Amino acid sequence: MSAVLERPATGAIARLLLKQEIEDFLYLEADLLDRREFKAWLDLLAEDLVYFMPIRRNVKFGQHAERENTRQGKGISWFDEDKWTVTKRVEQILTGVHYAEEPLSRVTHMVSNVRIVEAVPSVEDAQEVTVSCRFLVHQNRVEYETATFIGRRTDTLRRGGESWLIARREMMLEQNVLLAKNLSILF
Amino acid sequence: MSYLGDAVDHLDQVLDCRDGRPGGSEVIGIHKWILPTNWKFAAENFLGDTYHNPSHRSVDMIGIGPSARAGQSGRRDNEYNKGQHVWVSFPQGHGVHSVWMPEDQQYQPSYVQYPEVDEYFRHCFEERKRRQGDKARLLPFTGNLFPNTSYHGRQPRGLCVWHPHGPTQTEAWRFFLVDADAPAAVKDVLRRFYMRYSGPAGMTEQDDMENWLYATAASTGTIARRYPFNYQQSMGAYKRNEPIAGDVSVQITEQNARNYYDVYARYLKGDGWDSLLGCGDAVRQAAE
Repeated sequence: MSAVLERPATGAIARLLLKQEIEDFLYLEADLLDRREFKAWLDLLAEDLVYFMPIRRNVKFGQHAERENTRQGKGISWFDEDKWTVTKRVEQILTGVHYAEEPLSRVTHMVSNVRIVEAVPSVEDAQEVTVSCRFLVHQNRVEYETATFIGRRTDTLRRGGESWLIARREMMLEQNVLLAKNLSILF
Repeated sequence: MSYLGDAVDHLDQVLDCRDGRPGGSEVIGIHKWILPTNWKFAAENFLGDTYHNPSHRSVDMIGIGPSARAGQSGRRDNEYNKGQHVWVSFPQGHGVHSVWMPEDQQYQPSYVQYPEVDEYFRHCFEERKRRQGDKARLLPFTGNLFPNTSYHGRQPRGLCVWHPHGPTQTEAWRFFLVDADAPAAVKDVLRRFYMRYSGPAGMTEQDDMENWLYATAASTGTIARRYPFNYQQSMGAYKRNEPIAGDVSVQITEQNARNYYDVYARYLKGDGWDSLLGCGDAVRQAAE
């Protein structure tokens, strides 16, 4: 029987195992942020990270594909940055005098609708995975202030040693005018 | 132009090309967001409220400026080095914080980890000096055009309009500016800096929004409403039209705010345009 289990999984089983592994990673990662283990979270980011949240615009029917979202690498988005900048965000929080996060917000990251879009070179030997999900991030700070961020996320994860690394995160926040005063939390 | 008055000299330095050619800037993106604050807190912040600077301690410590990757602390380059900071108010209610540079001003190295960008701004600096002569001594920092249009003059560069949604909520629109014909590498460095500095995702301005929220909330309290705000900083410490047009202070002051609210009060009283635009010294002397 052990010989059966040790054989590499293939087909549907491999897909199921990979999905489970990726989901576990996303939940662990969200938990690090919610538990404010920011430095440990940074370790999960690839050196060539792309961290991108476009601004969504109200456009005429038929123009959505072309014009609805701001573009990575062009003009102004909510976030279009690299690991250096995201690391600066963590450093800023850790100064203890970043007043928008002092005292620290209480944040909950919910991740759902996880779906593997692509596995390279194969599901059986996945080295890079594109995964789509939905996020619901709840922020409460100080006494009366609450913000809710809901949207779609597409992550590219790369196998890095024992773990996965986030190489690209595209966060599609479903708002046009931002309804929160700040985006001081990490997504 | 009669509405802008002499504030136009400062606004021009925001909107014109970095090399001193008139116009030629383009908007590369717009932020729109809602903040639970009275719109006048935001306007006043840009009007010349310099002593809120400690709010930005965290970005000054970690360094997020255009030369931060080269190890420089602070949130922007030291372009105003050796200049005289001036806080200027105008009869129409506008107020600006600019810097009057020395006659023999030299280019201050900036964007140091991007040689191409540094070179672009060095070229612009020399060109601007050549084209504008003495006028090039004026470097804009921040300002507010009465009543609700603010700007950042250089690092970052853009306009911000504060739309009231009632007394305790504001919708902000921020327009980011670059020279339309700047090299792509320059535009890219600038947009990245603007995004990490400005607006709700900006590491610097997040801390402003936090202040304005709590200042607004505190202002609605019973005791806060019973007493006037204190706007007595640097009373009378300004000179008219020296060294540039307007009421000019060379120390941090609330003169700009006093002037702004004086004009605001005239609007509330329903004064005519002569009074609202501060035409004639009589109106202004009476107000002071």
